[in-house]
Amino acid sequence: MTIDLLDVRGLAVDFFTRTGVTRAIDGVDFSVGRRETLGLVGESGSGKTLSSVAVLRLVPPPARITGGRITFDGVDLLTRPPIAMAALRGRRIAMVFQNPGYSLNPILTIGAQLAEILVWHEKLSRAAAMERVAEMLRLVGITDAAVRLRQFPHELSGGMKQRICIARALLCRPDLVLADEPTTNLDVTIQAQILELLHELKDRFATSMILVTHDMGVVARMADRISVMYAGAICETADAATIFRAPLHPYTRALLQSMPRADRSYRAERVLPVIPGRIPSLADPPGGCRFHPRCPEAEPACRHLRPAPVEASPGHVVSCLKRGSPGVEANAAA
Amino acid sequence: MSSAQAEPVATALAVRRRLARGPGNFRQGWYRLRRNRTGMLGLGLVVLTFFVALLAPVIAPYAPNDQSAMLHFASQAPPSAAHWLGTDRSGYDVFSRMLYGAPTALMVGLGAMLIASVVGVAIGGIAGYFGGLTDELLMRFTEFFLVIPVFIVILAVVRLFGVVVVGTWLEGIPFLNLGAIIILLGLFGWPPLARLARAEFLRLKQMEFVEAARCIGARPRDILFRHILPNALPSLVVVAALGIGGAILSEAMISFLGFGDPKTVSWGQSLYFNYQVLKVAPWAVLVPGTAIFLTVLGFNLLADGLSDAFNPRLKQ
Amino acid sequence: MTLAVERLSKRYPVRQRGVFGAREVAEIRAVDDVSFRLHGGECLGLVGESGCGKTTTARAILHLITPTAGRVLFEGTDIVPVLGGADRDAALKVRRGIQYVFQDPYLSLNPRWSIGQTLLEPFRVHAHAPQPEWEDRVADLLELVGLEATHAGRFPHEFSGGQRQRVGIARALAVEPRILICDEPVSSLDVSIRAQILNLLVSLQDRLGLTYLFISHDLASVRFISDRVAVMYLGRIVELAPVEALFDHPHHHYTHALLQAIPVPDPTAKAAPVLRGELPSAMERPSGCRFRTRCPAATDRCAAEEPALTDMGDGRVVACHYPR
Repeated sequence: MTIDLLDVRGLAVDFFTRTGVTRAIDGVDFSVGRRETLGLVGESGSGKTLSSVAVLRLVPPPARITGGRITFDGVDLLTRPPIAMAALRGRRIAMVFQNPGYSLNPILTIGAQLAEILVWHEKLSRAAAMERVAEMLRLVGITDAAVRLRQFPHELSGGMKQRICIARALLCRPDLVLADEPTTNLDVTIQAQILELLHELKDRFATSMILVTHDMGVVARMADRISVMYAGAICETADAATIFRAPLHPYTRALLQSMPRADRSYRAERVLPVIPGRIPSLADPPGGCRFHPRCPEAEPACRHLRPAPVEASPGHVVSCLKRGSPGVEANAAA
Repeated sequence: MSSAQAEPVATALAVRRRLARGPGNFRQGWYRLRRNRTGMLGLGLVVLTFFVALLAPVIAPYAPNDQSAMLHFASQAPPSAAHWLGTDRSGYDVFSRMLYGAPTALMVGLGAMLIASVVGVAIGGIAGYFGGLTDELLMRFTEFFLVIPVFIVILAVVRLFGVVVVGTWLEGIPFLNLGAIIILLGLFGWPPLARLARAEFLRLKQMEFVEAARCIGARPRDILFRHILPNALPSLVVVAALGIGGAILSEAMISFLGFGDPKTVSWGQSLYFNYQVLKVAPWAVLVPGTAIFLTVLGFNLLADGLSDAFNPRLKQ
Repeated sequence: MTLAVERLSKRYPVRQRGVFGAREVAEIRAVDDVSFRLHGGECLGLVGESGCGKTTTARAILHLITPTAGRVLFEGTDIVPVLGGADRDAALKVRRGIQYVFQDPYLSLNPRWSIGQTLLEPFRVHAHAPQPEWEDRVADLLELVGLEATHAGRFPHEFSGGQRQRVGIARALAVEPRILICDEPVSSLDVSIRAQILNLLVSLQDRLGLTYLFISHDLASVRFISDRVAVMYLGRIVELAPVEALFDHPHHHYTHALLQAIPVPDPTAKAAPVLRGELPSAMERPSGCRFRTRCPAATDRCAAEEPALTDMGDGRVVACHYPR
């Protein structure tokens, strides 16, 4: 039994605005083991991105972490002082963002901004740092690394920039990489290249990864385990094969069915199965189970009771009253 | 069948059309403004100024050019029961002159900004929307106006105007001098608005809803007035509000330097008349000075509040 | 046959500014000699990655971008000079026939107009129905796309992305067009909402006898809704075929690579070989076949000679010297 590298229990994140307090993440549990990739899947408003930045305690105001425990390599991150967190970020936990254009500093050369990280975290000299950066760029498939070091972000294509962001994340050989929709803004063929790169590198460096995405195809390719999120809560967690082959939660099932796929024909039936309704606004979430207004299996109890996670089978956790979850009385919106 | 359901639509649409000849979610902006303290303070000051301007003839205890105080040696007198804020160098009641200065200030501020807005938005909007050579020419024209030392020019024109007018039939026209100042302030105050209008129109003309309107077949005139302008208004209104304060201040400066209209009652004029007796009768200077300060502050705070209201920075 | 695009081109000169004006140093051919036909009642999918020119083509057809060359024949008449010309009535007639659904449901509606006003505008402009009927028609349109008539007084920000997209579709349908150009209509929407809008588009096509040009980079949506598919690369059509034939056996190597690159929602599927290389810069187009720099089957001939679209039979055309 491997000890988890990262264990998040009961994470709660609230937004504090003048109009009141909105609960964005409502007590979620997830964990990542060593050398493991966890896929966090969900649509907009599911809280997946927020959950990943919460691990780094980089939740942007007016949001704040209001509850839970984040244990990383045995240490509770929520009690660490800021300077300890700063030392952790980039060195032991790194992040790859969705939009590589925005996450690279436009006024610094690639070499300068990446070398900075090594100078800061590993106290290397400028020259030594540049060497390491060049080596890293070659590892991510950039052949003319020496040229690229002196270039600015705007001179590079999207795919190239994302490779550089991956290089940046892996510079200090972190234990955990948080990848937030790393390929969503890229063309399909470039996405395939980047996914292949990520797959290869995470094995080579024995890095764990949390991959946040809305694309079920991407997560099928990359993740060992998958947690499906909806409206701030986790519906279901299981290993990748089980999620696709035998999903339990009605949302997971409906999502998989309503997704158009490029590998099957639709000439016979010209209607896609649909999840009716729309994604709830966090300001006014449905009471009880958040999915119940759209759920094909909803029952009266689902309106009042919030399902708590239950282990349906080893390694397969689901939060659904109809799958055996105990119900918790949902109190009025915080 | 559908007409029964169309009833609520007809009502909804009719109501909307009545209310929203232009924009309809100004209401949201209003709600946000209400919660913005500086904005509401500014609004309060502005409203106060308006009321004073409207009610001056009613409230003022004396006529603004009543110099009767001089007759019984009561000029430059400190505040007393007879003259609540004292009298000034020429025997005028300071309080009354302060009240009567308000309509002048507002006429200048609003008048100048009205001219500047129309000219500025027209020039900037056309430059931004049509682009190309039109844009280049109009922007060079605008820059020319930005480079001119506006204040000196206004002083010169006012002086010239005064010289030309004396002795002719024009002298009889009321508010001629003040009118000239207002027009000049407007004619020189438009460049910042033009710049902003150009930027806004440039930004908005690329928006998809404008493309959609073009796709439907709307004419450029429709697009400019019904689509782009209402969306540009929030930013323009903010700059205009700031400009009102600026115009009032400019008029005060012009009058203070002696180039103002001696026939009108304005705070700047009061400063001009009384700065020499600052040590002896400070109230005669402080009162109009404070009035200027509060009015301009009011407009500036309102502009600040409007800016926050129309551009919410907080995440929803 | 409803629409015929013939040799449509859009080129952008790249200028270098001197003191007295600008010199053209290079040229970007966003759309380069594109031709295809759109048959009545069908849905033609137009796919490709960034820089392929699919959106530019769509915009050029409706003169939202001015084409540099080529013709667009709608019911026999070339509409390019009509839409760019001074005769407003003639242009309006064309715009009644072909409409556009925009990609971004947030930006394609005027935020300061109620959706009722937005839907009234086509009636105002075209006056294709007597004024007393307009409000009824707006109510009908709203219901046609699955919204409620009472929503007419609300503003875009009060709706979700999927609902706003429905309004966009309703607006396009207000003038009773025959052809609808849909530019990435579901790309900005959440996965669970995409199915709703795709279903709506299909049902509208059946009910109203519409013809679609469906532009997307999402091949799954394209496979669902299209009858035929055209694949574009760097401004040219490289392959056009009936949808099943294209997906089952693509002839062009780029199409094949594109299909292979789509991540399959099946963890047991083996990872497909990945297409190498980057998209060439639009200003430095490879000589001969544009795809040769990344193509596994490229030869010297591909560098020397640009392949033309060849008829492969069964309604398939490919631009390749060595099709698969």
